[in-house]
Amino acid sequence: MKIRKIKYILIVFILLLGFFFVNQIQPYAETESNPFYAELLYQVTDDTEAYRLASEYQVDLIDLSSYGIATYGISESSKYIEMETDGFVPNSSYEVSDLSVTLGGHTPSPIYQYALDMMHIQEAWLFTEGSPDVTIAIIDSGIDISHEEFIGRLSNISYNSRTEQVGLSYVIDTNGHGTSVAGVIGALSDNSKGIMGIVQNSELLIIKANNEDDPATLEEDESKSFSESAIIEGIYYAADHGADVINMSLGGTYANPLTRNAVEYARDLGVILVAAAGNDGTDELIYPASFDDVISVSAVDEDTLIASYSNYGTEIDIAAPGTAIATSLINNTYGYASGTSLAAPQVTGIVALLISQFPNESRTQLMERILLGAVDYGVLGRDDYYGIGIINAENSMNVVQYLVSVQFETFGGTLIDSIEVYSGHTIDVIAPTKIGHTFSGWYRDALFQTPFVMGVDLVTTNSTLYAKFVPISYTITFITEGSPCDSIEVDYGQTFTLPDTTLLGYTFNGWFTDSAYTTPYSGSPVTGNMMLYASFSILLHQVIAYVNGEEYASIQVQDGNIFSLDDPHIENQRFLGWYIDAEFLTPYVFRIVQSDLNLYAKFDDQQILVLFYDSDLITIYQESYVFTGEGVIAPDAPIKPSTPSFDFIFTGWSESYDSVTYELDIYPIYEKIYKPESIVLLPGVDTISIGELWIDQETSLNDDLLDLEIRSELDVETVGAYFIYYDIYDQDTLIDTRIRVVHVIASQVHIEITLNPDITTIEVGDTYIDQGASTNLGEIETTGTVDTQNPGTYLITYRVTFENQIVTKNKYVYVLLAIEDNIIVDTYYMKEEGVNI
Amino acid sequence: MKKIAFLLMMILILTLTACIEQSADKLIIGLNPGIDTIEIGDEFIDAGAHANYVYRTLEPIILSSDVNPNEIGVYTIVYQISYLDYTKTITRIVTVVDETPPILALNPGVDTIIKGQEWVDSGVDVQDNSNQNVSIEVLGEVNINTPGEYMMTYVATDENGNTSSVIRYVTVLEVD
Repeated sequence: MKIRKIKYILIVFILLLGFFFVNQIQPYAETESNPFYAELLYQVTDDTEAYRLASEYQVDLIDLSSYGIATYGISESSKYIEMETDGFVPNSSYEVSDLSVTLGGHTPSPIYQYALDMMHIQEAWLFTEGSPDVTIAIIDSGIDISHEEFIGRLSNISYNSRTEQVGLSYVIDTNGHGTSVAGVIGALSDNSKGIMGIVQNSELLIIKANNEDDPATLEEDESKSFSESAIIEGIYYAADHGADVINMSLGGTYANPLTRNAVEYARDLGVILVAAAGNDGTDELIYPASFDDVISVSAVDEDTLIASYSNYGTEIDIAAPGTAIATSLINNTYGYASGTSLAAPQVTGIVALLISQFPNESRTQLMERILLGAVDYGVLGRDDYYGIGIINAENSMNVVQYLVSVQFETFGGTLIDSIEVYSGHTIDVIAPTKIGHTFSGWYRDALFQTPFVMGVDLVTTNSTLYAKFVPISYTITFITEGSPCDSIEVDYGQTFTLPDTTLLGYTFNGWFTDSAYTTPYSGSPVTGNMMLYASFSILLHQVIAYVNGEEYASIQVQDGNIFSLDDPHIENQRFLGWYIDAEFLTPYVFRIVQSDLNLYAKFDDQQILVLFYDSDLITIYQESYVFTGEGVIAPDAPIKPSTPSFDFIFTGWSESYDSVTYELDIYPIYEKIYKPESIVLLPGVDTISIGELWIDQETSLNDDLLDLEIRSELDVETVGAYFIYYDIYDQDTLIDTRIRVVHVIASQVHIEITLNPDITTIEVGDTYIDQGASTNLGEIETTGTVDTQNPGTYLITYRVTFENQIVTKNKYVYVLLAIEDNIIVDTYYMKEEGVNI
Repeated sequence: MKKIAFLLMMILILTLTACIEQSADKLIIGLNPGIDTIEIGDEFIDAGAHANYVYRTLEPIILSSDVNPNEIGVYTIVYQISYLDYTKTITRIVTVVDETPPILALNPGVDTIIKGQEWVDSGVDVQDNSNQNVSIEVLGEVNINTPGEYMMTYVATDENGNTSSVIRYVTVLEVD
């Protein structure tokens, strides 16, 4: 149903393409016994010319084909030489008599069918002449169903893919192309007549796909053409009706994807498709031949030279004889024909012979036989003219699909036994496994440069395949109560560097594989995901306190902890504190312990403490002890740092310290000096248009000791000069003021004119309609005209007047001279498709 | 049903066949409306061209285009359509002009000063779409020793004569 739908679409979308019409058809008539009789051909333009020539040379006009080929019979050798000199072409009438005499049984005529010799068909016939189980589809112009060469060979379900009618009466060939192609493939060889086709016994499934010749158009032969839809229909029909091989001696330059689908459909059913490379004598790609799944056949002549008309290029697969091929013609006649159209059926015939002989071989195996059997010509190896070479049926029959051995190197993975397989085939083995690794494919080399894909790549010689393994990456997680450690990824079998972790008050003992810290991690290679646990043990410091040289206390303190000591008691002496030295120079401040410690107790010796404070009035600047009534030496005045707006001058200490009788706290006193130059206006945009946002940039005031208050009368909606006052307060005292004047001025409105989309490049005589412009304010006034009758550049000006402002915008219009000769005929498209010579 | 469908298709084929007279006149190419007079520096949006052959919509290609919206000038875009044996072209002329005046903005400055205090002209910021040289003229002056309001006018002119101006007021105060 789906195919049918596609076809209906295609009928509407008919693409007419040409056949590679066979070249130089030279009909001959059978004659006998005349010691001298020869025929000459001449291409005439009409009947009158044909008769005029006959009269001029006084020879018999014995045939005038619808293609304008006039055939003349000559009985005098001198006349023959004269006419050949004048340009007449021999009609090989000699071969005809030879043919009729020598043909018979299985004896081919070496003169008559050189192609059979070139391709070693006779030798292949020793294997098989063809099997009735093989069906050969020929998509072409039909067949002469009454031709003596095809008696009993034509399939009853032959099909007209254009009219969709089944039956031999619908595939009658009126053109001749199909009959000539079919003759090469399957003409009867044991009928003692005409020619010998390559395959016997096999059924010919004729798919007639060309158009019907319209008798109304005498000068045109529509049967030369076909629609792509009929070809597609033909491929599907052939594939669905048991075709083993399909011949397509036709093509066009368009790679129709629907045709490609049909080709792939047939391929998937195991059908081998063969097509002609084309007769343009260029490297132009012709389809269906150039599709990947189609064997593209180029043509050679009797001397194994590539025919001048044969297309070449990267898509050529194989070459076969195509020049001067003797074959069957319609109306139960014979003739010589040339073209890749005649080369493709040679390959098709041999494919059919191979299928007959090797019915159980796969499509791939059969293709291998064809390619491996070919005889290399031209540049060594595959080239763009011969492809792999000239097809050879005997070689292909003899291709030995010999056994080759494949070894598998798995580098410590599961062992895979070597296997034996026919060369040119794919293999498939179960993927090996390896502990700690992932299998990532087979390679032809141990360095893993050339991959080998199971089920796809072919084995051709004894070989070793190498398994590539990628080590699995495992996660190592570190669990610690101390400083955290990121988890790491380590490949199977690799070792790694253990991280450090620390914990205040503890010593790190190492990493353990269990949370109970029974098994330390040995550093062995990684074989799986792993968790490691950090083991810590407590870190203690020894603190010894001495009183008057005697050990007073000895305690152990965990690293990072603080501790306390009971104050020692001595009769009549006051305890003053602990010192880290026996000379009582440095008092000990209780803090976290990070090392062993010795402390010494200091006792009051009746001196009085005098403390001098720093400029911040908090930090102790100097600590002095004096006996009652004595004076203290004051320290140098502590410097108080300036603030942005103040300097400080030391003026003295808060207490007298000449004769101390009790404990004193003494503070420095400063005079505060204000710096007005420290406060200036910061730059701002102080001239603004009405309604515009004004941003107060304020002043450079940056002193915590000062406060700022702003007084403003600004009204941005009204034109005027406005004062902004910045009042500066020290505590609550106004000590300074800064002034900023802001000017609000009248603003200009912004008028914008935008052009409307327009066609402004026109030709003389075209109509021009100004599409105008648009504006955000006011009305547009347009000036300027376009004279569409005179070429030139014209200016249209749009003007808006609004609130005393004038804004204009210009538009340029070009009137060009009309280009009369604006039509370029592309010669590429003028070329007739596919027809050559 | 199949026969009817087939007949319909045949009629359609005949109808279509009757229409298949090929002619260059049936290949039409035209410009799409666009804005082809643009300001320098603006993005030029090529509105493209359209083409058709009878009922078939075709996609013209740009054969050549030398439009440079960053330079004043007259540029040409040529569109081409090829179909069957015919090829046609059409031209779009694009004009890049400069009619936009420079955009001026005051640089921030201290424009309120005390008599005798130095006043520094912090100038203007100029932007112009033409990437051309823009000349700036400053009109007016400030007498820092005479309290009052002074008006400074900055006039910017690009190479195509497009001008714009901006005003800065400076206030000189008598006392602080």
